[in-house]
This record gives sequence, C-alpha cells and structure tokens, in this order.
Amino acid sequence: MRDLTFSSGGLKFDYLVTYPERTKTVPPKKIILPLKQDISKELNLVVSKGASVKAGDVIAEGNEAFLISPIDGKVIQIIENVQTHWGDTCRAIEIESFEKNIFPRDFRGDGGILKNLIQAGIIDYQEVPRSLFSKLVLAQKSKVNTIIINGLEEIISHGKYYYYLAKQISIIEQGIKSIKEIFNVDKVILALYNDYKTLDNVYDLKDLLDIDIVFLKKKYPQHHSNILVRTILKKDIPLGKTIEEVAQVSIINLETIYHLGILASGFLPYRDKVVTVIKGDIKDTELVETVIGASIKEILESLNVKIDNISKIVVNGCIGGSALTTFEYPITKDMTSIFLIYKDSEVYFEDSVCIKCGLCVDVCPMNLMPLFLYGYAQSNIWDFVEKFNVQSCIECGCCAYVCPVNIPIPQWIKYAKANLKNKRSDT
Amino acid sequence: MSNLIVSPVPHIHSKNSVKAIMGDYILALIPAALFSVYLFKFAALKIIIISILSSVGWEVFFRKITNRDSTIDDLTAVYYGLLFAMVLPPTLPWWTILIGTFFMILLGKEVYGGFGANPFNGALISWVILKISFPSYMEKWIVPIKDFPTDLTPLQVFKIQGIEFVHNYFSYKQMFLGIVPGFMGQVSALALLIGGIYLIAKKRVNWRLPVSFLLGVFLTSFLLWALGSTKFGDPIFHLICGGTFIAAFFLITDIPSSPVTPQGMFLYGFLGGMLTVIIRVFGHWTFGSYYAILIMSLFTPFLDKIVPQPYGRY
Repeated sequence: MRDLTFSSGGLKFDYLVTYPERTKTVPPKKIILPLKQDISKELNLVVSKGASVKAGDVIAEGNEAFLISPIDGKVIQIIENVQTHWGDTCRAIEIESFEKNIFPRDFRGDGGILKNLIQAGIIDYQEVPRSLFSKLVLAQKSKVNTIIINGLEEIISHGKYYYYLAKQISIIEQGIKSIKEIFNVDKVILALYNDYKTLDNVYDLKDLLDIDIVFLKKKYPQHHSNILVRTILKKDIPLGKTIEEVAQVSIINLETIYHLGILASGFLPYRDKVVTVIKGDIKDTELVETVIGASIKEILESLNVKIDNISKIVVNGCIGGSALTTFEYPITKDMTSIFLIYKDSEVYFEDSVCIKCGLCVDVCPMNLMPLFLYGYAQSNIWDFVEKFNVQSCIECGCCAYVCPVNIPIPQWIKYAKANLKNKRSDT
Repeated sequence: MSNLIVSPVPHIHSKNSVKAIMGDYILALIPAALFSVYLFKFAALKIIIISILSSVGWEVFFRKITNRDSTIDDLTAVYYGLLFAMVLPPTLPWWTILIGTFFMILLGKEVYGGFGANPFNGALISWVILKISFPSYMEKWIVPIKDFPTDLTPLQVFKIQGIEFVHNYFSYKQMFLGIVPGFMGQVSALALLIGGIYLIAKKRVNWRLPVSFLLGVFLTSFLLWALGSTKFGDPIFHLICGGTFIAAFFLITDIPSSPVTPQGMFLYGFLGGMLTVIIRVFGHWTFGSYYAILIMSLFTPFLDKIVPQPYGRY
C-alpha cells in the first residue's frame, strides 16, 4: 500500500526519523509545577508553603486531572501569575528536592486504571493540552468507535516517539491495551511516519494487539489532528465542530499511551518525562529523561549548553511550537521537545511588500489564501478577512516558512482573529 | 533577567528570498543568453551588458530621487535587464535600450512602489513602448548563417508570405535549435526549455502556468489547423517559433503579474496561449505572445478571485 499523505499544501521534509543516540538523565534540584497543566480550570492546592511532600503525594486537585509531586521535598513558595506557554496564567508551586542530584525513587499508587485516571493526572496533547478524562467524556458523548494513536511528532523535532517504540515497546503495548479498555473501542489505528517501516517492533504490535498501522509521508503539519483525520479517514472537519462529533474518532498522542502504559503496569502517576532537546539543528539532538517541573535552565546547564548564546526557546515543535518567555520555565506534562535557537541563526520577520509569488497559497494545508488574509488584516478590512475564511486557519506557519520576503503572516492572522473576536463581543 | 525572543509560528524559515528566486531565474536564462551570444556574437553581448547595467542604473536613480532604500541586492533589476535584452533584436542602437530600461524600471516597478506591486511585466511594457516608438529598429535582424534564404523571422514570413514559405526557409530542427533570425533570447526553443525545466524542477515556477500556456497554444493552433486549411500554420510551428517558449517559461510566469490560485493559473495560461495564436493568425501584429500576456495581466485581479474551497467549509 502506498504511504498516505494529505492533498494540497504542506512542507515536505526528507529528514530520517530516528532517535538520538545520546540520552541523559537529569534529576532536578528543585521543581516548579504550574497549577494548570491543561486548558481546564486551575487546580486547587492541597499543600501550603513550608509543607514537606513525598513523591506520589497529591499536591493539587481538580475534576479532571490531579497534580502529584514527582519528588520528595519541601514546598518553598507559591508563585503567582505564571504564564503557561499556551497563553494562560495561573499559580505555580515550587518544591525543593531533599536529596539533591538524586533521581527520585519509584512509588506506587493503588486501584484500577479508570479509577486512577484522574488521580494519576494523565494529560493528552494535540494542539492544546487536555486531560485524558475530559477526552473520555467527550468520546462517550459522541459515541466514538475508533481511536487514532498519533505517533507523529512535528517532523523536524522528532526523536522521542521512535525511542518509545524502539526501546519501551512493552510499556506502549500495555498503554494500547489500556486505552482500548478505557475508551471501550475495538478499532485502533496507529499513525506513524514511513521511516518506522524498518522497525520490527511496530509489526509485533500490530499482530499482538490486532491494531491497524498506517504509514504517512513526512510532511508538515501531518501531525495536526484535523489533517490526520482528513488523511486517514478522508473526513473533513467543519469549522466549530470537534473530531469526535464528526468522525466518531478520538485522537490520542503516543506520549499519552506511554504514560497510560506506565500507569497500568506499575500504577505510577504522570511524573517521568522524556524530552527531545534540539540544539539549533536536528543533527545535534539529545533525549533527556527528567520529571515534570524540572526547570529548562537546569536541563540545559546539565547538557553543557551556553545559555548566553540562546535567543529563543521553542517547545513542542520547531516550526509550529510556542516560544517561551523565560529560561526558568519548567517542563510541563504536554512538552515533547525543546528547540534552541541561537543568536546567530535567529530569523527576523518583517513587514515588507508582498511580491505575490503565491508560494503561501501553494503550501497552505487548509486551502486558504494567506496573502489576502495578511493584506486585508494589514488594511483593517475585517469583512474581507472573514470572507477569506480566516477562522479556518490552523496557524501552522507553512506560509511564513516559505515566504521570500519574510512576512509574519500568522502574526497578522492572529491579529485579525483577535480583532474579529473583539468586534463580535462588542455587538 | 532573560532576554528571550517570543514570537508566533514559524520559528525557522526556509531561507527563501527574492534574491534566491531571482538568482535561479537568471541562471535559467543563461542558456538562452549564451546561445544568443554564440549566434549574434558581439552584438548580443553588447546589448545584454547595456541592458543589465542601465536597468540597475535606473533603479539606483529612482531609489535615490524617491529617497528609498536601495534594492539592487535582491537582483530584480539584473534579472529584468537580462530578460529585456532577451526580447530585443540584436541590432538595436544603445540609446533605445536606455529608453527601454528607463520605462521598464519606471512603469514595471518603481511607479507602483517596488517589485511585487506591479500589475504588468516591466520587460513587456517597455518592449511595447520600443515597438511602437521605433518600429523599424525593432524589426532589423541579423541572419544567423551566411546565405540564409530570408532575413525575416519565421513569424514574419508566416504573416507576410504564408506558411508554405516558412517550411521552404526553415526546418523544424532549425526553429527548435534557434538557427533563425529573431529576438536575441527567444530564437532557441531548446535553450529556453532547458531553463524552464530548471525553474520547474527548483519549484521557482508553478508548473501550471507554462503547461497551461503551451496547452493553450497547442490546442488552439491544432483546432485552427484541423478546421481551416493549412494556412493557419501547424501546431508544432506555433509551439517552437516566435517566443512561445520564452513566454511560457519567463514572461507568463512573471511573479507579480500572474495569478496565485491554481484555477486562476490554468485559466491565465490557457487563455494567454489561445490569445497568442489568435493574435498571430488573425491580428495585425506578428509577435502575438507578448501582447497576449500583457492583455491577460489585466485579468489577473479578477482571476485571483477564483479561490479554492477551504477545508472545513461547505
């Protein structure tokens, strides 16, 4: 069978998807845990300043996913107004480790998987982080009968999922069993890039668990849920509708499957974190094993990265990720990769004159006209911005990536969306 | 305090630039330019050099008097200078080239605010200006080899004497290779084809434009040839003579004046091709493709309205 891909647009890449040889374990000296690890409400703190916590203790509660201390330590402060990388603000808790530089010991929870889903604090990340519990509720409401496991990282920031499938296959196997049980579905599709064809583990999974595997061409933004559904199930998701409603399918990240696997095999909550650190170029990549809450600065220092030369830190993807405001930002549950941009290779986008080359139209995966969206947004002609379907834009950044005159098109689109939202709320 | 940059997507760039695009366009024109120098010797070299230098010079001049930053380093002036030289006869006096490049930079670029905002291809506008102002200079040719049976271009022979004379004077091979009198860069379909394939392979040119243009030329001439007798000229003749290839790969693909949507490109190219043959066969002027493209550029804003259906909208 030919490898699938989506029609119209996208950026082709020919990187070989594999995993980096170098792996490093970084035990944190102190951790910072924002009380919002997903887009739902801020969690309620159950510990106060000065309290001692043990690894595995609940430190914040909520309706969908708890937050559990990953280390033994002492709460040294509650920080107000921490900004999450997806644009929310919340409080955060800072815990200092008792045993410095020692990776926290294992601990065990209790009870079955479903019961522990909330307590273990499992988060799934697609475009935004959501608790697995809320996805389960949505799936049950929409009578979901299929699960697509999204084994696609953003094409340039890959490394981690290959590592999971190559080295942690028993955990993934356990995770797939659990997700079938929790969501009560028979049909599971594992979506992978075509470079995984050479990995025997993948075929073992297929035979053992009776799941479908689809191989996809290496194209950005293939990992986006709407585009994934369009590619695999040939269903188009209308604006304002969820994938669950339209296609009766839930998309679960391979990362979430891994954490479910850990939960199912050892009753361990969401704690360990593997992140790909890309030092300016995909060829210089390392995998880092740490825990949630570890500060990025500490990780970079342990990798001997000179932070003075860094001008930008981008998490969850090289093209479509989000830029962080500070080095002190902690590893959160949704993080998959950290991309460092050095000062000498920073790209500057500026408003120059559009030369109407049409490359943005060529690469737009949603069939939009980015050059018109930019043009009308710049001239504040909001009717036309809306007429050219600005709301359908998934803000993948393909248009600005290829733009020969470096126009920050997604920035203008964000500006247009915000203005239209304001206008609607005014009326 | 950390000084980190925060910005929306994308965080990396393809390193694509106007300079890179123009560099490829220049490279793609090199075979045609070399061929013209081989065919017309020093006369061609002189015109190419004057055209490029004056084009850059005028750009510096206009930027200076309008008090704007120089844009020479994006190579647009160099490319348009070279492209303009390719559509000139090898005998043109030097001062007419200066007039041509003056209008090319003024009307094809600066008056609209710079490269990208111009609705027409500058090289074509100034070609028309020269054609109207100095008709006799613009039709003076150099015969490529001694004792050539005619000193007219294949299209002129076709217009004035008839298609049977074309076949008497020129073989298909000669026309395809470019051993005929004519504008410097347009004589050799082969050299232009090499450049065109390079541009399509490098994705500098959307394949839809040249393909639909050539299809338009071929189908229209085929229809006329099949319907009306042989006097309209056969499709192969229309494809390989008189600037069809320079139009298909370098003129109709002009970045600012061509449409951006897939459907728009097809229509633009196809109608341009149709119009080329119609002007050649029924019109007063011989060089149909240049006029056809100028006329089609008028429709570009309209053709850009034919937008594709976005996903998730019904």
